[in-house]
Amino acid sequence: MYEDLRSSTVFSPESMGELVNYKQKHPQALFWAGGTYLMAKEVNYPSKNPINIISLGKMDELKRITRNDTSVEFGSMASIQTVTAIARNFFSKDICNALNATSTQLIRRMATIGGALCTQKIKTSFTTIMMTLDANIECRIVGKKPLTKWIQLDNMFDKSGSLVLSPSTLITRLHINADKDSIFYFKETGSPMTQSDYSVVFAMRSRLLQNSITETRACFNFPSIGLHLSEAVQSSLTGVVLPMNPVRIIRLTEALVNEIRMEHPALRPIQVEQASRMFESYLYDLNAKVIARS
Amino acid sequence: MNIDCNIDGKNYSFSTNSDKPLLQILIEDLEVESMMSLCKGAYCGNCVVLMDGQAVLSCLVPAFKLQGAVIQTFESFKKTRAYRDIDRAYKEIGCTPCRQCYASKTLIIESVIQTLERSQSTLSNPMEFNRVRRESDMEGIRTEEEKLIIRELGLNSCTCTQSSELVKIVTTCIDYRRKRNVRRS
Ligand SMILES: Cc1cc2nc3c(=O)[nH]c(=O)nc-3n(C[C@H](O)[C@H](O)[C@H](O)COP(=O)(O)OP(=O)(O)OC[C@H]3O[C@@H](n4cnc5c(N)ncnc54)[C@H](O)[C@@H]3O)c2cc1C
Ligand code: FES
Ligand code: FES
Repeated sequence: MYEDLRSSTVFSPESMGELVNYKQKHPQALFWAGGTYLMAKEVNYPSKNPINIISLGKMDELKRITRNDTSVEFGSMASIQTVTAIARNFFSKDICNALNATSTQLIRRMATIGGALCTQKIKTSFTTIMMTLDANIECRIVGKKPLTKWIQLDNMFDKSGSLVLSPSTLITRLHINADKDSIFYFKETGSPMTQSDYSVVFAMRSRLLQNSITETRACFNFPSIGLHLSEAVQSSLTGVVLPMNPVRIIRLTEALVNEIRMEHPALRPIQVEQASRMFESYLYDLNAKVIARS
Repeated sequence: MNIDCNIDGKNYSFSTNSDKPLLQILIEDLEVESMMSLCKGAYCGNCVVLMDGQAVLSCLVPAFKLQGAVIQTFESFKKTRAYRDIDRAYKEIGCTPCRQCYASKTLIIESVIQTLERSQSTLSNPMEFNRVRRESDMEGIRTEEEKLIIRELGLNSCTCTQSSELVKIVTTCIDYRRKRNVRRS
């Protein structure tokens, strides 16, 4: 059935040189990693206008993993399952649990780092976690003038949390610093992929020095709308001594809600409500951790 | 494009569109009975097959990824000893998935069992497992293994089986296999 329709041309480069050559000749060709997002959301078979595909599956250099005591670097074609499998060598139990909660093993084995970071219409929980871990990515611009550069993951998204990556940019590596000490919190309601209009994913990481917060990163993910990395929360929490007064918690939560509403007017009220509850419970959790220690 | 692959023990060589999903090839071209229909992005989870030994959603696998692959659908899996264990566990627990999701749930169960066996979880040691389980029950929480079983089987959206029953099916099955291995050695 449909075999007389024109079918996508699939190119499977084995080296960066081959990939660059092909992409320069076919700028519209689509990078294909695990295909879990593309097959579910973007590619409808049979398609009237099949696209050219650059399958990254044979690019061994994109599957390499290098690590030392303080950091780990994954090739963008490493699967999410590979990340979860070696995570416990680098990250705290809470971070590992969060990674393990990204979908199911069956999906994690198919989905790759590059694919998870570059989904267009939804944002994945994997990206949310990586944002709070302050990950960096290596991008290769495969246009007329090839260029390789490292950027902070935050810079892949604009202020409204949408992906800003040109179709000629290939993500080649992800770099993350080891983190076994900070306090990490992860919560999601609904699946970012299957309930993307309602789901809220929240990840937050704070470093404590004695009882005071020295550094914090908070990332909300409203999957079909965008990511929200809260600068205001991050700066107002830094230096705060725990346990925090409940009035302060209420004020901070209100400030967050206002910020989210302003930057993402399309959010559903239920998403705003969920986000504020998640944030509030993180702050109480921080309090509880410090009280338990003393 | 031309594809050579092995499906349910038979070698196939066929020409197909490169982006045609494996599920559609199985339904339309090979008329595999256990494959039902394409949910087109509704994530029903009813299209699971084993590809090179690992469970995948066949609607997410395009034809071009099939070159050289070994695919096992439920049709050939049901002839294996591994399947007979799962079927026996369904009967022992008194809970069998419905016709619609039977094949996929069974293959996900097999994949979960393999993961738990590989990870040498506490499930391979019944005394240790029961201890952990008792402690978790007392605290009203689930063990890590139980969470994994429920999460993995949650990929199948059908609600005909409860999570507590799925946990029992998987643990019963692991127990059958453990006892058989003990007898053998
Ligand atoms: C049922 C289901 C549930 C899921 N649940 C979750 C969940 O809870 N949490 C979660 O985090 N994920 C989840 N996922 C996975 C997630 O939604 C994406 O499908 C997945 O991460 C995409 O990875 P991939 O390798 O398959 O990418 P692909 O589908 O191959 O590609 C995705 C996009 O990225 C581009 N791309 C791929 N690689 C690169 C690269 N190296 N450089 C530049 N662009 C690139 C592609 O062109 C495409 O636009 C789920 C998936 C499914 C099917
Ligand atoms: S056909 Fe529904 S998930 Fe594959
Ligand atoms: S598919 Fe199992 S009851 Fe619906």
